[in-house]
Amino acid sequence: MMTAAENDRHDRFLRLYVEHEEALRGFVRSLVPTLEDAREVMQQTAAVLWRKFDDSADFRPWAFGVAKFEALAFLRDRARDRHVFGDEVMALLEAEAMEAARSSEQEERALEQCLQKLPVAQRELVETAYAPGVRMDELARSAGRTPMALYKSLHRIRMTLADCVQLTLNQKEERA
Amino acid sequence: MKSSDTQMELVRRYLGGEATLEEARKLESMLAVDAQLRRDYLAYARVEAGLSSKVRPKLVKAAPRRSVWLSWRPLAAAAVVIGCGMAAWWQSTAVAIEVLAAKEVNFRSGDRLSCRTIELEGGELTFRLSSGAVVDLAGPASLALLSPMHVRLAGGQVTVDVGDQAKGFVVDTTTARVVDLGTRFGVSTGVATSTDVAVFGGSVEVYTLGALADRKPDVKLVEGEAVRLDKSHAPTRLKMIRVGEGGQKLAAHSHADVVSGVTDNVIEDSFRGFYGLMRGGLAEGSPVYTSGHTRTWHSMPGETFPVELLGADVICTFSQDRRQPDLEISLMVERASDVFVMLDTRAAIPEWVQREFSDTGLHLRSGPWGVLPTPTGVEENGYVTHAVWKKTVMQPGVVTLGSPESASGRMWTAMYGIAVKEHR
Repeated sequence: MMTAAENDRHDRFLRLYVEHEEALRGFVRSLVPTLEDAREVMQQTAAVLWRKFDDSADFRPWAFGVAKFEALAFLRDRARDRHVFGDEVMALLEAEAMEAARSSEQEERALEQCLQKLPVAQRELVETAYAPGVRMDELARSAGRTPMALYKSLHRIRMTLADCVQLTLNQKEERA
Repeated sequence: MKSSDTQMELVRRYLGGEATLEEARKLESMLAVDAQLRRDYLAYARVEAGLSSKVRPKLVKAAPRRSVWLSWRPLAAAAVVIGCGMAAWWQSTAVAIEVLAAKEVNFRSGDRLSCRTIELEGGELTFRLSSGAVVDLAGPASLALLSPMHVRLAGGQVTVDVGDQAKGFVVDTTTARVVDLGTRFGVSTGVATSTDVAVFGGSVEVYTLGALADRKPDVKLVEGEAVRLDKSHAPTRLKMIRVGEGGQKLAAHSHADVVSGVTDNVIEDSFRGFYGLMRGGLAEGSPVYTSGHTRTWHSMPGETFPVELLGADVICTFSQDRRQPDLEISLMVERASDVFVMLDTRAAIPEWVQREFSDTGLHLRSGPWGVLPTPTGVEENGYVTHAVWKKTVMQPGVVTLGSPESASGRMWTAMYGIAVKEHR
């Protein structure tokens, strides 16, 4: 059972974490080569954040710092760090990612709206491709396409979504 | 995206894990000097990360439900604090559940909430995930909900019925990963030691964590099979599983058990059938076997279920047993008990039964038997009559049962049933 103080700490933490979760997730994704890696680093990051959380530091930069550290440690452990960007580019990405002031909630909602705007076939492709445990080669075979054709389609859809999210958020800011 | 197609193609390859070292360096040098590319790169990464956390397994055409699930999302953070455990909350975003049944737990049937983990000190909770999978959790247990298709059992036992909708459902423990292939199965784990897996229908693939890397399952189990996985050892057959209602879910161990163990003399490595011990379960409609659950016990036509047998512990056998001429099944009996065997009346009475058991004069029927396998003389969807024989043991100890076949036995007879009731 948690004590009242622990409960309180948990509440404050959860609020901050949820607020910055999407931004962190995106940043982590930009640092590691695959989605699976990003999931693991994100889990590890969240665990460390919770363990070390106190109110003394500004949450967002602190959390980004932890995420960066965890991503590097993860890649080093798996000897995949040859592909990792150097300190300079990483710092630039960190600054850029932190600057995006929008909240996780807005970003998530924008992505959801943009998904709904996709043509049905494209939306279904995304939903299938990102479902847990799906293998691209199998998906390609069942769709009667080459894996490369599938990767390219998904690439185009991601770019469309990125543009759409940007646009949606900009419009919101203008209205606000 | 304002960056060029060539640049974005490089981004795709890098984030897809396809980029060569040279390509990674090229992207890095471009990112170092191009603020627009950095923005596009991050926007692209955010979309990808967002999709991975957003996209849920597709619901099978039951579209109306989807909107209901989604509409709870804003409540997620609050519900975690109120309703569900928080120990491992970070492992995913909260997952929506609908409580179907609860016993000694502070949720009620019909409750809808979002959880990241569920901690049960005791009691039982049955809930449905948006993937359609129905999860039975028996306390004490700790279960992390990673997605509607993926849970992690930190301790305790869980039975999952994935139905037709959630093939590919995954249960992780600290020692193994169980991937369902359309089925109903149970997983039980202690603290970081071993994992038990039993399949009640369909089939599953089981991976120890070591095997996960090369994507080859250590073992594939089908209905009626069970194994234990330790961190260091190959899967070993679990000979007995305690089952609950209908013989199709795991039940908790109890010190009050009259039968504390069931084993046999089968040594074949590839054989993984389990005996199902169902406490107090014998009644009209209770299961006969651990595979082929459609075959159940029934009273004779026009009669009520014999009182002497009602509420006895049922030991579900597997029907392959009937072909084992040297079979010995041993029951560990903890108290003075009546041990019943229910014998197919079409076959000769095995010698070991004649020697040690007495005929109670009672009869039960098993069935319905489908077309395959068709024991001789049984119609399609017919019933087999069993004569009930009894042996009373006054001391705790091992009771050994033999093969269903007498020396002159026919091939197509049904495996006998077993039941045990405390002697009064």
